[in-house]
Amino acid sequence: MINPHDKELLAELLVEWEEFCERGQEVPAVELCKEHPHLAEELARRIAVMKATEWLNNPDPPEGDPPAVATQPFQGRMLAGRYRLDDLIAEGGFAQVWRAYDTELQRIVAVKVPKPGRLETSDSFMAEARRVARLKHPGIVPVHDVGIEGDQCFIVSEFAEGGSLAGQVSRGRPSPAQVVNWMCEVADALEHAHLHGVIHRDIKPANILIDHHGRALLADFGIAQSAQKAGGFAPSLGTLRYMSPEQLEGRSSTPESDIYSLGVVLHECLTGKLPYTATDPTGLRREIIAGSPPGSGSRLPPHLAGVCRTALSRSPDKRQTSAAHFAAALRRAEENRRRHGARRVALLLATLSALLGVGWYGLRFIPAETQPVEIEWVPVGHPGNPADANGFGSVAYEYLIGRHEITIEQYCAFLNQVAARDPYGLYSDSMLTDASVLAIVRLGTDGKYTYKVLDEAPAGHINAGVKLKPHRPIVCVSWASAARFCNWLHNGQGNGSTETGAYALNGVRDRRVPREKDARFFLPTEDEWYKAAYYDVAGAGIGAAYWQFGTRSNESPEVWKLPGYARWDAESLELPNIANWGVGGGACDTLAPVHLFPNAVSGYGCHCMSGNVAEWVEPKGDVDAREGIVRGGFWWEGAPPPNSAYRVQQAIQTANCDIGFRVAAKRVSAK
Amino acid sequence: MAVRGTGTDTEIQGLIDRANAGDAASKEMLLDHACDRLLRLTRKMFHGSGNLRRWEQTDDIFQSSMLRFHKALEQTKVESVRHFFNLAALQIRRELIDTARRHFGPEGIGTNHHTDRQAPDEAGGSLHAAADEPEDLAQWTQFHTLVDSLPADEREVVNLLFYEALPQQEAAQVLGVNVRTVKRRWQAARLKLHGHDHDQSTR
Repeated sequence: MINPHDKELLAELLVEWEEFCERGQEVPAVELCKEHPHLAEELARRIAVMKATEWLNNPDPPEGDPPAVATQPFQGRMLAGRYRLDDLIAEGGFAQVWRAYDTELQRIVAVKVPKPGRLETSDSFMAEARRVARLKHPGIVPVHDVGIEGDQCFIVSEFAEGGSLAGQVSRGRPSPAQVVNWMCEVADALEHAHLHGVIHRDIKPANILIDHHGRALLADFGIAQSAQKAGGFAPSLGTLRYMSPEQLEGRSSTPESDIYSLGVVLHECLTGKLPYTATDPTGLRREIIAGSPPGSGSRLPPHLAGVCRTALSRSPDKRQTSAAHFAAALRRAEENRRRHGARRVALLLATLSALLGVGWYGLRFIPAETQPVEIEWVPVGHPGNPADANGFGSVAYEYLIGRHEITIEQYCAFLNQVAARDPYGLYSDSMLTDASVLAIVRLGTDGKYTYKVLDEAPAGHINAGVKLKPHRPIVCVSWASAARFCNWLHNGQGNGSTETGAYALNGVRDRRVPREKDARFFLPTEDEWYKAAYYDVAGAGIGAAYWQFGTRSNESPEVWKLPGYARWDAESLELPNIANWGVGGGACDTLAPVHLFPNAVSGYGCHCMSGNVAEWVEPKGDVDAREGIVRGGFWWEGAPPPNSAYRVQQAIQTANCDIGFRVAAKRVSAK
Repeated sequence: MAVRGTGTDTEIQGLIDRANAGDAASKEMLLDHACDRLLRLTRKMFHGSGNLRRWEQTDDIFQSSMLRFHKALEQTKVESVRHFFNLAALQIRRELIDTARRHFGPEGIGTNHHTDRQAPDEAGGSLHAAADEPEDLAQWTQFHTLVDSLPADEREVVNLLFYEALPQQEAAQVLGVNVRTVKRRWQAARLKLHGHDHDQSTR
C-alpha cells in the first residue's frame, strides 16, 4: 500500500521523468529515486506503463490506407441447396451481392447476403425483401426468393446483365439523352415506391442496375423506410455523397430527399463529377449542408441544368414536388431540346429557301414556352376478347390508348397554350369553381389568362393543406372540352387548332359530333375503352381474369367476389384502397394520382379504368347527340366497389367532379 | 476552417457564442470539428486491425456520428470551449462504443470472432498485459469504456489530449491549470487505463 506522501512523490517523479524525456534524456528510475530508493521499483513500473501507453500521445492515425483484407467467405457456397454463389459483383456497407446460379431453374440470378457482423437480426434483412415484394413495378428489380440457411439469410433477385449505372458511368460518359432515359425510368420507379409510402434513402449509381434491354432498374431497398416510420435515429443512412442536406442534419427523410439524391446522380452522369468539390467527408458534408448549387464550371448541358439544380435545392420545398415531376421535367427539357434543334434546322432551311427564292411550306414554329403534353400509350392488340353479353368490348383492329387518365397538369398545359383562343376561359368548364378536388387556378383578366396548378388547396378551403398533386386526373371537364383537347393533340399541340382535326366542333358546345375519319387522337369509343379495360390476359371466363374490378357489364357484384376473379379478397383489401376506393367499402375523400393503384391495372396495363374518375367515351348505339356516355367507377362511389362495368348517360355539357377522360390514338404501322 | 490547432480558444469561443446566437455556419464549424476528430480516431482504430475493415467502414461511422453530434448540439447549450470539447469527446466515445456494440453485442456475429487477446473480464478491467495499442474492436471498446470510468479531472484531460488531440499547453489553457497539472492527470489516467493500480502495487 502506498502512503499519500509516497504517492505524491511518485507522481512528481514521473512528471520529472517525462520532462527529461522531452529534453531528449531518458533518466533511469534508480537515478531519479536517489533520495527515495524505496520508490525506485514502483517508479520503474510506472515508467514502463508510460512507455506502453506512449501511443496515447499520438491520437492521429498514421498516413495511408488500412491493410486490405480479402474476405470471400461465400465464394462457391451453395445456399438452400439451389443457389451457387459464383462471383462477388457488388459490396456495400451492409451486404454483398453475388452473381449466382440457380441450379433448379438453370438461370443466373443475383443473391444478396449480409456481410458478417453487419446485421443485427435476419428480420431487418427480410424486411427489405418484403418491401420490394410489395413494390411491383417494371423499374424495380423483382425479388425471386428469400431464404435462411443456418445463420445466413439471403435474397434472390433478377440478375441485371448490364451491371450498375456506376459501372456504365465509369466506362465512359453516356449521352445526355441516354441519361435522361435512365433517370426517367428510375424516377418512375421511385414515384411508384413513394406512392406506396416507401422512401428509398440510398439512391446512387451503384443501386441503379441496367437490364439486357438497356433499361434502368432501381435496386437495393436495404435501408428503405416506410414514410410513416421515417425519422428517428438510425445507425447508418445512405451514402454521404448522395445524401440530402436534411438527411445530414438528422431530419426525417422524405420523398424529396430521394429526389435530391436523384439530382446528384443526374449531375454525376451528365458531367462525370459530383456537384461538390470536396473530397474528404467533412468538407463534403459542409458543402452539402451549405447547399451550394453546382457552379457554372459544372458543365451541365444547358437544357438540363435547371432540372438538376432544382432537384439539388437546399430546401426540400424548392425541389420537384414528386419523382414524377422530376421525370416530367427531364422529358420536357429533352423534348424542348429536340424541338429547338428541329427549329434551328427549319430556320436554316427557310433562310436557304428565301435566298434561293424557293417557296417554303409547312413550317410551324412552336413557341419556346410550349410545354408538350406527353402521353404514355398502351397498344391494344387484335383480336382481344369477344364482346360480353351486352355486346361491349369487341374491336377487331389495333389502336393505342392512354395508360392513364389525362392529368390536371396535362390539361393545365393545354389551357395555357390555347388561352389566346379561349378568351373567356370556356375550356376550363367548371373546374375553377370546384377547388375541392381540383388544383387549377386562373390568373389574369379576360383574354389574358394564364393557368397554374396548385400543389395544395388554398387556405380556408375544405381541403386546405391536402396535397393536390398535379398528376391527379382532370375532372369537371365537359365532353366538348375533352374533344378540343383531342383536336389540339391531333394538330401537334402548341398553336394547333382546337376546333377541327379529330372532331369538327367549330364553336359547337352543345352537341356531340362524330369522330373524323383521319383523327389521330380521339376519345375512345365505348368498345375501345371497354376492351382496354377488361381484356383478359389468360383467356375469357370467370376465374381467369386478373385485373381489379375489370368487370363485365352483365355480371353482378356477387360474381366479382369469386376467388381469383376480380381479386375481391382479403389480400386486396390490405392495400390502402382499391382504385381509389376506401378500405371496407367506404368512398374516398378526393382524387388519387393516376398511377397510384398497381393492382387496379387492366390486362393491357391501363390504370384506373375501374375507378378514380369515370371517363368520357364515344357512345355505342343510338344515343342522342346532346348526350354522352361515361364509363368506369369514381372516387366518391360507395358500395359496390367501383368497376369498369359502370356506365351512365350524361348531357355533354356535364362538368362534374367525378368525370374525366383518357385519350386513344390511331396506331400507325411501321413501314 | 479547422477548429483544432488554432492555438487559442478565443476563436472557438467566438464560434460557440455565434452558434448560441443562432448562426448556423458557426454551428456547422463546431460540428465539422467533432466529425473530423471522430474520423481520425476511427481511422486510427482501423489502421491497427485488418479485421476491423470487414466489420465497419469509416464513412458509416461518420454518417451516424454526424447525426449524433447534430442532435447533441441541438439539445445542449454549449457554454464554453471546455464544455464543447468535453461534449464532443463524450459523443465521440459513445459513437465508437455503440459501433462496437452493434457488432459485438449479443446478436453480433463479431461476438464469436476468434481473438487471441484476453476477454475483458479476464483482463481484470484493464486493457491488456502486453501494453500495446488496442488491436481490435473489442479492445477499443474496452478502452473507451474505461475512459468513461476515470475520475472526472483525469477523464477531462484524456478528452483534450487524446480525443481532441490538443497539445498539453492548450489543454492547460482550456482547463485553466498549469501544464504540470495536466501532465500529472494525464499520467494518472494512463496508469489507470493500463490497469496499473498504483495504490496497491508497491509492496
